[in-house]
Amino acid sequence: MFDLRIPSIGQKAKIRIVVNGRSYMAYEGESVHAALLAAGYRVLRKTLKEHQPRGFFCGMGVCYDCLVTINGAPNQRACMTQVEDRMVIEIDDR
Amino acid sequence: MSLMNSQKKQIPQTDTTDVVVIGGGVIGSSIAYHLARKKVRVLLLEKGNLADGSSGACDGMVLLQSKKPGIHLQMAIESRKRFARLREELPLPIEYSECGGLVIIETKDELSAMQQFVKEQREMGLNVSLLHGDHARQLEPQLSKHILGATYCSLDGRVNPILLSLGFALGAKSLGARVITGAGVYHIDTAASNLFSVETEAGRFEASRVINAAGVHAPEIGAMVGVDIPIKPRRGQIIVTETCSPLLNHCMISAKYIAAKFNPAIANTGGEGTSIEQTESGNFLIGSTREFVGFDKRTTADGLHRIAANTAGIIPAFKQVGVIRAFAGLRPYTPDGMPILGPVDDVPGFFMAAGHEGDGIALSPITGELIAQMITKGKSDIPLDDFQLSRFDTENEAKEATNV
Repeated sequence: MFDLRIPSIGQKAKIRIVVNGRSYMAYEGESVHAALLAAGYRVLRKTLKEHQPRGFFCGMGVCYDCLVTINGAPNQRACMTQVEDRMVIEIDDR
Repeated sequence: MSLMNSQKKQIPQTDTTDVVVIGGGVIGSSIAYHLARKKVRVLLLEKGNLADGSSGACDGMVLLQSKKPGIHLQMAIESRKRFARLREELPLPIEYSECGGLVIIETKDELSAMQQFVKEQREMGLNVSLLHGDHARQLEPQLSKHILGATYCSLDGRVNPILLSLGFALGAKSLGARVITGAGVYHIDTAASNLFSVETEAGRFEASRVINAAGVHAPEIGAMVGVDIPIKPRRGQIIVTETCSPLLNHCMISAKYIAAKFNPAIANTGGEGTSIEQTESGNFLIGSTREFVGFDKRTTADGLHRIAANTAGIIPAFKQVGVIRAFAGLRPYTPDGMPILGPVDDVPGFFMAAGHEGDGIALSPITGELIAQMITKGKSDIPLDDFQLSRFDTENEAKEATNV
């Protein structure tokens, strides 16, 4: 898959994360936000009543728009959580 | 809000109507709605605001499985049939959905109790099935491994209790009923024959029929006409979680809940069980305690901790879900777990419609319909004999005899 990361920036060790059942490569020290963006995800959830798409907005933990389920815990902020090896992320964008 | 308009100021000193309904919860509002449908002049009096008592502090489950096989279950079956129509008919979106319900069985004792319960329910024509643990987990993958089984009924559902209650009241109003809030009743004069004079904070009202739908406060209203009503407030604390994507397919209660409801001794020793419902907005309502603490509506750390522990035992995924708040409501408990409905023998023209404990939301449609029939025709499609206040008389007499 096309990787959006800037190649000239040095990265730490490679790890694997699982997003909606699919495995992706990520780097240690990245936020879930960065890893999902690099993997091509834009819509992270839909609002419950109007089903409007929500994605990355503030990127600094304030807006609560980038909520995803991480290792079974719902409503976690992708931008404030660091990736871990074998982290399981679920995006409910139905 | 249009429900709370300035009617109060326009009311003259004494005001006459056909029927006064006391209590603007889901039961009183449903009665007012059904009477208004029959073109009866009805006045709904509420001491605070609509649905700000028990009807606004409860969960919204419409369960058939939790009802005692017999007339209680028959009422619930009939009541459920009316929700789909009400969803179309009432002026507010009541968020009714038939999600199906599971009763969670954790111990062998519960299993044998539920086997008997299911057998009796099936004899009454309710399509309930008893599932083994693995089968239950197929239906509801989040169920814990230790669950022995579950009973399942596809007809169980849920509704938004506040919207239902307000929907009845608003519906009644649009059909010509009058709704007055801030009208606490403090005296009922029965001196005149065939006429009650109801004195309230919002003026005096005369009617030939008075319906006591005051829920946990029904005994206070009863005392005003010299009637002893054995309803007691039973506190239920409920936890509200953050909104989540749909995590569960069904609403569920634990078998302990059913046991606790019909046997207070079990509630004290075996725990209160749990009820779990995901609302349309995605929050979970998790309940509930069953405590006799008078009119105290506070939540307690101990009570909430018990609910959380019980629930996380059944659905381990809940350990990861954040709690945003908690509330408590008072359920109108009666000694035999059944509501008190229909005319009161000693006071002609005075009717009871209270004491549903945790079933008020589910039974509100049928209760309103049957009470409206009693008022207009003097009889109801389902006889209310088993729900009469007088069923407690022998008990009271026995108590008096021992006191002497």
